[in-house]
Amino acid sequence: MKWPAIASLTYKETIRNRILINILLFAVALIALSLIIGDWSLGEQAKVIKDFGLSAMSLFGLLIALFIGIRLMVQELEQRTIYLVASKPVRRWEILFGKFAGLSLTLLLNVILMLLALWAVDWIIEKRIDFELAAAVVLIYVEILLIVAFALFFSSLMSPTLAAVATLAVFIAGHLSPILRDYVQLHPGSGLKKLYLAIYYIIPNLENLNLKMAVVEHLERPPHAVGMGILYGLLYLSFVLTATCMIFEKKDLK
Amino acid sequence: MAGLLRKSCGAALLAALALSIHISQKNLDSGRRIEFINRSAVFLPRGNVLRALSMGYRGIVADWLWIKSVLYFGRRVMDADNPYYLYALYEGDQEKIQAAREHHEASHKHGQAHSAGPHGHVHDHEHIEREKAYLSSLKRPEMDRTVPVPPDSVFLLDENLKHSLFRFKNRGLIDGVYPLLDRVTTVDPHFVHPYIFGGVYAMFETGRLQESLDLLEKGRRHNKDRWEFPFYLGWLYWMYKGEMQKTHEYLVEAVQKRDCPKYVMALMAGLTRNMRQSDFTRLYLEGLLESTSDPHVIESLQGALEQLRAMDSR
Amino acid sequence: MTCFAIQTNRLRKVYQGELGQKDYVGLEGLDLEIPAGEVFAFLGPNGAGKTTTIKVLMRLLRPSSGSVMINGVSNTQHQSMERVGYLSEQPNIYGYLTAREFLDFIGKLFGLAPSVRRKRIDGLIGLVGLKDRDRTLIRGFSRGMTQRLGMAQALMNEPDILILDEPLSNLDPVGRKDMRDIILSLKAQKKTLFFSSHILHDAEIVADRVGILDHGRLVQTGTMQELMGSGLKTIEIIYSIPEAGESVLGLSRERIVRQGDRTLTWTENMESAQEILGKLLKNGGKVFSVTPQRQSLEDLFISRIRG
Repeated sequence: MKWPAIASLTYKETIRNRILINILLFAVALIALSLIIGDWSLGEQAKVIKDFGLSAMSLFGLLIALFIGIRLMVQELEQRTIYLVASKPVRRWEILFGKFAGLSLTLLLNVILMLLALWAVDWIIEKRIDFELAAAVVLIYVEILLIVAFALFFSSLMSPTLAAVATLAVFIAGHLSPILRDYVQLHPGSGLKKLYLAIYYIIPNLENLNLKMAVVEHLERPPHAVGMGILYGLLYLSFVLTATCMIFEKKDLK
Repeated sequence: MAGLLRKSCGAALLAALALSIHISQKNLDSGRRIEFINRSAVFLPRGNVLRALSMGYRGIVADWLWIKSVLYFGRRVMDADNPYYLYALYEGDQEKIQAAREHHEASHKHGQAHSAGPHGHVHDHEHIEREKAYLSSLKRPEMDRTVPVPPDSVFLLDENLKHSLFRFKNRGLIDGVYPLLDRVTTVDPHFVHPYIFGGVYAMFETGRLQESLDLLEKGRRHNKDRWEFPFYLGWLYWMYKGEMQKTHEYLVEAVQKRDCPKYVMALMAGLTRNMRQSDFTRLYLEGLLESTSDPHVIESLQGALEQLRAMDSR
Repeated sequence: MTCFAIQTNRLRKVYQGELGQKDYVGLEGLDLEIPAGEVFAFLGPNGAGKTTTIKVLMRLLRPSSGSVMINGVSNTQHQSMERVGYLSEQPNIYGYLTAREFLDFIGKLFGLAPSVRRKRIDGLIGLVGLKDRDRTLIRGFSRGMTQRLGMAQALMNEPDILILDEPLSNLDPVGRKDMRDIILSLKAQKKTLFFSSHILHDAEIVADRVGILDHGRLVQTGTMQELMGSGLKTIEIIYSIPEAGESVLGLSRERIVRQGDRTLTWTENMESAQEILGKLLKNGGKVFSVTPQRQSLEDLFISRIRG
């Protein structure tokens, strides 16, 4: 198994890419902002902070996943650094998976740091720590990983710009797709029902991974929402990664 | 050979994963609590915040909220907790209704434990009961059909007419649709349909007169060239508040707008000539019928017109 | 059955054209057999398919048809690369690593134990002369330093076979000399060396055998001897001699080129050259240089490709 070596290399690369410094800056900015926003939102300070923090976490994560995810392989090919790696006794999928695993590790660290920052602010405001936030954060992390997988997938098929657009499109479609299911439920007689459902099941349902609102509002959750959400996300992730590995396996490294 | 084997292994793995994804999605969907999703929609930021957040994409954000509102509304009406929904679904077959209800309760037993809050089903049932009591307490007054009637009793011309036009079915059930519509119309104030939807159809279902009036007034403020807003406002003031003076003012305003249909003029004339209650109502209903394309509204209006005709032939 | 270090069988590579463009044939029916311990120079102009061949050997490109065997193992197996060292053309190396970190990473890819890695890294850093830069980021390395680090990584697994793509190009004179010394020392260690070059001079000095590639086809292979024969064409002599002595040499006018006080003449064989030199020295002349002019690989190359 050579992928851990590639994973640790990628981890080093992304860490030295100064991402973490950005994240720390973000955390500091969050704390500063919370104090200002606290003045504006009478009594709802904790809710606002949590909404703000979770959304920012997901958005920042998405951006990092998107841009670094796409550059992950493209950069190796463009700068021809991959030649000295792929020519070693290593399986192609190990390179791809190693890259993915390395970035995942960086993103994990990133998400953990942000959660700690959020908890710190929560402690200042509420004098208690809302551990439920972790449930939403785990799902945010799974969603970020899924976006990385899609970025890798698309960047192995098309130019980086197109791949970024396609990945973003998956992200948006993934959050909108439940509308199709709802529509079919309301209009069971619709002639296009089968088509709508087919599209609904094909597009990753990213709303499965969205517990932000529910956690902040302390709404009741569907049973197993977190567990099944994680399972769903990981299954979809494996699917996309496997497909990407199969493409990469045959790819000419020009 | 080895290549082929690897390829088919890959394909088999992909197929297995796709199947598992499908199964897990079905599982997630089946475990979904409708309230859970619905309530999250109501916790959107205020309209003006959304408006700022949507930056250059206000149209799309408004559309999205609008679709959310309709789906929200529809789902509340179709919620298995709503006895009217089950009644309509199984066309009055009591056995099937009972079976569906039992199935529903069994499948949500787990969820019940969570729903002890103020927003659970208990709340909804209470509302329905209260609504039923309210409906039966309404008495049918004797009245002279040629004289303008006092507020609050116009729609009591006839019990059946009342049921057609003002179904109350979901009064209290739908507490989220007006906030949603308010957000839609704040993000995009020139999006006409949501106002009408809230002012007429949602009004028929919920009986939230004040919210409907507010929404239509907001539409009127932002869309000064549209005749629909004064027209519908006039209708609400006539039918549900019995304020002839107000109705007249609105109709005068509507007539002056571009593209205002002829029947509005006829209505105005009828009002000043002290037309018979039922004739005026019919005229208005026909106007409403002509100005809407919403199948639910059309259905309600046609029912009401039928009732009026039956009353006249009596 | 003899087992070649590198063997290709009817190797063909077609690059799929982008939308609306024609397919491009990069390699056509390439058969190569390189026995162990041989130094093979792979020559050809730019775009002949040298790099394509090497990338196919290194599993970076998939051949459209044909096969590659490395030490008797098909290179579709990643294990076939265990005993191979590879240096790509103008290698690029992760700028965010130090030379040590990079070599350690490469060692991990070869599955070497940490202690082995450490020992080899120390040796290689010395060999390629990066001793005082081994802990700085590669980002600041010059072209030549990167090339040397590339050479170090190719040697990390102590390979039997080295496949080098244009190892001597794009280097300054000192860099070229260092690199050539390393290659010669590898030759002395009886490693199998397969390197490409578009500079023929490199091959003349190092290679046992050369192959000439043009438009994706192997035009000719052979030992240096086979390709060039004895190859001696002329012997050039540059001298100066006092005016009076000129006639003593008995050279025909067409064979004299005068430039200031120096004169150039040439002859076809060793005997007459020695005769001329003897007369020159006897009559107080000075000899500046005697240069045997061989048929160069360059000439061969041009005649091959044109013909």
